[in-house]
Amino acid sequence: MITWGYQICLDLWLAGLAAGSYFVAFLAERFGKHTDHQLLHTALYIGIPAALTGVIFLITDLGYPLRFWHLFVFINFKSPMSLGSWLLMLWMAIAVLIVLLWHTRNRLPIKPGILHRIMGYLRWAGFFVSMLLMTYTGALLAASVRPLWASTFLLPPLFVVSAISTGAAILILTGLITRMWKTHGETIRRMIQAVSIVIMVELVILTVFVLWLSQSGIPGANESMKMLTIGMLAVPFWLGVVFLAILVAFVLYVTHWNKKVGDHRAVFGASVVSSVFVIFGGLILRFVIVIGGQI
Amino acid sequence: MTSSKDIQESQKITKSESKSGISRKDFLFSAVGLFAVVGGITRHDFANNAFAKPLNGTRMAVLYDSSKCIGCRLCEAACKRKNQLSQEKNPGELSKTTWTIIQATPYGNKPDLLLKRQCMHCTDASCVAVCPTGAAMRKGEYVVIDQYVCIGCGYCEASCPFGVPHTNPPKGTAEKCTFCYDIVKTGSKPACVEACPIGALKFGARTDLLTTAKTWVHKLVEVGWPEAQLYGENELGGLGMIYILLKPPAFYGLPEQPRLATKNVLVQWASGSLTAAALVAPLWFLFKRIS
Repeated sequence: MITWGYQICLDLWLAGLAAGSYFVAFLAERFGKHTDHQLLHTALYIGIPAALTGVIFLITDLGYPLRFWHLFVFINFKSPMSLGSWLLMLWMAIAVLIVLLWHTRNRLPIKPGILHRIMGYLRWAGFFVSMLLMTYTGALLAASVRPLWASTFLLPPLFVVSAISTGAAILILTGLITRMWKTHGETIRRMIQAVSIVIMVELVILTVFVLWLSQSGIPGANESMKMLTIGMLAVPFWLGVVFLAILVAFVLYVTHWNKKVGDHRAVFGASVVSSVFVIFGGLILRFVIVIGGQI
Repeated sequence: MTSSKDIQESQKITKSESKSGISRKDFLFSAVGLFAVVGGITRHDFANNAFAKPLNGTRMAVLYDSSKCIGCRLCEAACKRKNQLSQEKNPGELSKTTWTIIQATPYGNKPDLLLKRQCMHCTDASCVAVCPTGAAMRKGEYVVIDQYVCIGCGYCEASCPFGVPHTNPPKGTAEKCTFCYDIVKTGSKPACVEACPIGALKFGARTDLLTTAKTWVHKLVEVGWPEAQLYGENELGGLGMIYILLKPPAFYGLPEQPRLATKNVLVQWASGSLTAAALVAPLWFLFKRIS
């Protein structure tokens, strides 16, 4: 019986996308020495509604939606769902606080130096919480007895890498659509290169994951692997996840990654198409894993 | 009689308290108060995942002897009656409204082999380990789900090695066998045990039941059931429901080595976090080249 349906698939995808985009934007700013924080705030303007939407889907999936607040008067350190709920709340609190403080920074009765330091701490806190939030999406499923989810240690890494790739892809897509590439073109070009590397890492992890399932010897694991690769989920898995979101996206990115985005329409178009494939490929990956684990 | 020196000393103490702004007594009361508030807010029962003290001082259990069961299903009916569950005929599988069933497994051209399925009341219970609200908890040695706390997230359903809790249909809280702990704690037997007409179900001290069961398993092996065995003695720290099986667990669809769902949870968290940390390096390599 399917207990966790499309709402859980959407929640895991959106939470991963929100955390992944923050993760990438934070590193791009820190290492690229941006001081305007435009990239990080773009990640938050995408991430906050995405995470909120994910939470709404999560609540609607509950047997008693109006009791969702029970999650926040109790903490179970062994339960990824308990920790994940608190992490999600913490991430959203940090994200909203960063945005609010930024937009009211000139009106707050706090010394600019102190405010700058507070915001620095918040951004770092957001980075570490994002790492844990990406991990939670995989740990949630792995702490179960479903063979597809719990037979390997690779589900959290797979979901982390997928979250990073979808997060970076949505930043690239946003940068292209909003013409941010005119001011941050080099950053977007580097993010295209980064996504190309990350989706190759995803392919490697996915391959090892499938092989591990087939060889684990755990009852049900091999059958789950077959369902994923040659069974009823084979089409979305091979077409949506492997072919379009990894291979095609990789080729499109790599054949244009040394060119400036504004150089030619083909570059622009290829980057948009591959980013869309990566973003929805992340959703399809979560769908095949979540549903596949319950069949 | 208080001397002027004593008065000066007490004034010094008062001044030092007023300097720091808080006395030792105030700090202590605040700390206790804060702890009480945080403890109340988090409501974390630190004994939740441990084997709590048995309700009656001796750990009780139920022994099901599959060699004696005749499949009359009076236990199913008694369970439904006692717990006011819907009285469907031949439910076939565990659900929100069927907390125990007699499962019949074909055995060649011989009569089916029977097994009573229900919550196993594990010592290391996965449902308790994963529950995000504390609804799944121990009541003495039994595992129950508080119907006023459960939010119906379904995590227990995904983590139980025996596929016991169910949140639907209809979609709502997770429900399962409670071991009739509400009447057991007053000295009665669980409803299923009371209803069994043939003694296939026994309720008593766990150690006594294990001794009886081991003796009976030896006899079964001697009379032509070489694969007869005990199930539940040590699995998941010891189960509250002990089985005498005529065939290996896999024959009945039971896990040979049931595993606590959160056994490797730390490794899972570490693998994901380390992956994210490892990807910082290539991203640093690319982003530092942004001019």
